[in-house]
Amino acid sequence: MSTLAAAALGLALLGVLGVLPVIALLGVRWLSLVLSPVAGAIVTGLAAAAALSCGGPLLVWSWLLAGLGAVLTIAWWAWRPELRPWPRTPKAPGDATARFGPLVLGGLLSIVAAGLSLRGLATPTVGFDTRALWSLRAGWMLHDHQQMLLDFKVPEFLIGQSGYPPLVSSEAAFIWGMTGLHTARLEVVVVALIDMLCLLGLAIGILSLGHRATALRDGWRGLLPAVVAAIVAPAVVLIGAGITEPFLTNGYADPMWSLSAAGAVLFGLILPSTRSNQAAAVVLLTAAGMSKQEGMFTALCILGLIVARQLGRLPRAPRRSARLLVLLATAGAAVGAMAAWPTAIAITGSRQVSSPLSASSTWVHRAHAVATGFSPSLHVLAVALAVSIVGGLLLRSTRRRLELGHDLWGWAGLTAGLVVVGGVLITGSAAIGPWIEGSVHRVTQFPAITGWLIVAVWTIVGATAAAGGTPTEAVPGRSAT
Amino acid sequence: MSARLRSSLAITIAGVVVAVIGLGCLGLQATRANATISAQRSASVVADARLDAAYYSCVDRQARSLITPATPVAYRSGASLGEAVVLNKAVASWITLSPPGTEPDGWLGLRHIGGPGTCLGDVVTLRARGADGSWILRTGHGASVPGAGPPPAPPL
Repeated sequence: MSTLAAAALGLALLGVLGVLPVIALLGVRWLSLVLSPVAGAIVTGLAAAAALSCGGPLLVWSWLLAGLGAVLTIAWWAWRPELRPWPRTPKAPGDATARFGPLVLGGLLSIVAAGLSLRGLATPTVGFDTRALWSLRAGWMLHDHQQMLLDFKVPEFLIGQSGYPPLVSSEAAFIWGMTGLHTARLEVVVVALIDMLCLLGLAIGILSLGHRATALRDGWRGLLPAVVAAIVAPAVVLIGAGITEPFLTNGYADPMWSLSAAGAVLFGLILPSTRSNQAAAVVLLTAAGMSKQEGMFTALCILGLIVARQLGRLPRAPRRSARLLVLLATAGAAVGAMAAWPTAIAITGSRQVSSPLSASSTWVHRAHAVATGFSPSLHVLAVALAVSIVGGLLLRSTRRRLELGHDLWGWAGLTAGLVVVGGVLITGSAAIGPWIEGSVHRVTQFPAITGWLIVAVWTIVGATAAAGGTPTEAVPGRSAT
Repeated sequence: MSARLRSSLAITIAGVVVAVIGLGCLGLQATRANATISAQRSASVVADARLDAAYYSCVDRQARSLITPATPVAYRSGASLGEAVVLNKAVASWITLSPPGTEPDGWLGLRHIGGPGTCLGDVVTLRARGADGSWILRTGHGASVPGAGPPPAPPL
């Protein structure tokens, strides 16, 4: 089987693993199609944790957990028929075929941008960490339990990083096992395709915002925000790919956590607070948290922010306690999924990275080095800040009518990611210069992409305001928080 | 002009300004991003990637000429960090490690000897017992990459 065929088959199988829970959570929308393989990858990560801690093959665990998810989904639909995805919800007032034109155009352009962004895959690059860690662990995850324990425990391999979150390795192991093709190159291609699905998820979020804005005004002028979104969405795909290259196409885990965490900020903190958007955010932040250590800490911060945003939107009694319970259960499930692998590593006594702290007297010097090292990769923050200030002063009402989250939520998510990676670099004991030099292009991916998302969202808000200052009707839904 | 109309006009103008600036910045950055993506197809990057792939494929095939995935092995004692890293990257995903406290069937290593029949000068070695019980050092075969030195360092 060729690498491309195996990658396509593997992606489809990951989609099968995740599709039912994703449809149950998000409903029937294009985003569900894009996020199903991501959810499938989360299932394989949980399966890897189960295989390491309890024994049993990863493939069996993957299908068992997916089956469990499917059974729970079907039971959920049987218990709450009103939550089944197939009854059609009434269309929003003013819905017309013309409103979908820009949406379709933007979708097609985003797919073209995704194809262009993946042309780096034609170069057979396999990154250093991909061979030394990510695809290495994929092989271990397919070993029998005794050998797998040995692989993860013996000091001979000299890599504490093998305790890092499992997702990139587990999805590769699953596809290796299902296709019989065990190559680092297959891991590279699959990871790049899943990264690209996350980027397409961002594009869908942007397009949905543009589409939503068309309901604010009738006539052709009302289409302006959707047309702008149709330009912005493919631009975001290209920008995300540019920021994450060469790591997008060399099998690294950094684009995976950065893109999914940025998606979690977009859907959970910026876009309107619908059930579907919140569910998408939880899927994405769980993927981020299961991809890399810094992704996990950032995802936990974003989860805290999403919970805080939702706490401000709780309905009055008697529905309040039920909603609160769902919110806490969802957050608990996400934390539980992220904690599964570290728990498995701890209870099996597997190798972990020891990270002694540097002397606090060096932190000021290290913080200065971090700021200096990061700044060339984060020019976008100056643009985003300027746009946010102008937008916040003059376009607040338009943003509120679109029911977007307050701009500060997005900035809080971005800042959380910066603080996490900055904090690790500042308090860590490795020589700060080489550390920054070797990692700056990877650890700044999340804040850079999120910065561009803030610019993209304000651009559509601006187009909405430019289309007409006075609304003809309110967008159905609840007020923004 | 009423205050409400002035406010509406200000919002519309601000909207145009933000949208135009946003589109301009996004368009500019998308163009730069496209150039970054194109750089992954440059001749030097492609050549480096091919050499890297050839090197690790060579080490992998030499190791497979010495052991099967079921052979219990260990890294040779005294293996340098660089040696262990290359072996990790090339073969550690499929070899069977000998459990601690048991004698492996062979000790896997990597030596730099240069010349033909090597992977950029490196050759995989296996120190194992011969038929008479004595230790013999065998070297891998079946693949080679001409040249010297390690493959080009990929971006970290």
